[in-house]
Amino acid sequence: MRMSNFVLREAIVPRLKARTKDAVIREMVASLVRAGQFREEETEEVVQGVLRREALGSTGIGRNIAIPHAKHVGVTQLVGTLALSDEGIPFESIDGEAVHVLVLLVSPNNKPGEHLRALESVVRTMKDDKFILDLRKASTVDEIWALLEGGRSDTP
Amino acid sequence: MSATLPKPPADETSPLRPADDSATVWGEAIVGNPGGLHMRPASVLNALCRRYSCQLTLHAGERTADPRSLMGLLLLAAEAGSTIRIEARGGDAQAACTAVAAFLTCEDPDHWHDAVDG
Repeated sequence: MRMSNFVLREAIVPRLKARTKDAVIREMVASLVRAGQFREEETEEVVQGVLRREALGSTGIGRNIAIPHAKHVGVTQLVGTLALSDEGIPFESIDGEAVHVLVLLVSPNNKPGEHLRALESVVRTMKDDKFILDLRKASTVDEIWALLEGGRSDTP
Repeated sequence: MSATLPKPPADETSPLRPADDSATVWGEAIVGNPGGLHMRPASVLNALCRRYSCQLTLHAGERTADPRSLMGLLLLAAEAGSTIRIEARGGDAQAACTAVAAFLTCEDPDHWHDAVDG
């Protein structure tokens, strides 16, 4: 699975305005609403779902990356968005570092395998140091999308 | 420490048996969590494994991971019902192998989380 299989191009946020964890999650969910994935009135449900998951333990996995996520009945297949922050977001990450790259995932209740494969895809892609460097230098949706489409996809 | 641990049985049917005469212990577990080894149970397993000094490797099909790396565990993408082989070498290998197998088999990682914290 490639990240471009589930990250919605039209929901990518090249430069986050938000500076806190909660606000970043809201900004990313709003991008999914704008992309047509959720209805406006579902926004708060999705945001609260992601925040509840964060309350169980940060999804900041180190290397300045976080993968906030939640399940929601409004999706029939896993969807995601990617956002970048130049300044870095305090995220209580496993390594204590601020987060610069975020991939937010929303999955249906009944497809745990899809969620596992998406997590694997994000981690596999982000393990590539050059990919991360290029991604953090990207400033437009087109640049980010080109990187995602060229990203490693050697999932068996 | 390892000298005080009970020697694992060497018969072929045992889930915990030494691969040879060295200090390597092998175990096997079927993932019990209905959601598979997703980020939360992987984080708990990661913390659990850091309590042991032995060298640990998990094998899921053709994939292998050092469970002290959260990213490594996520790369396994281990689904519920899948089999993970546990390789533990040296020091407290037997205890680590037993604990990891018990965790992987557990269907309720939140309950386990409490047990670990407690």
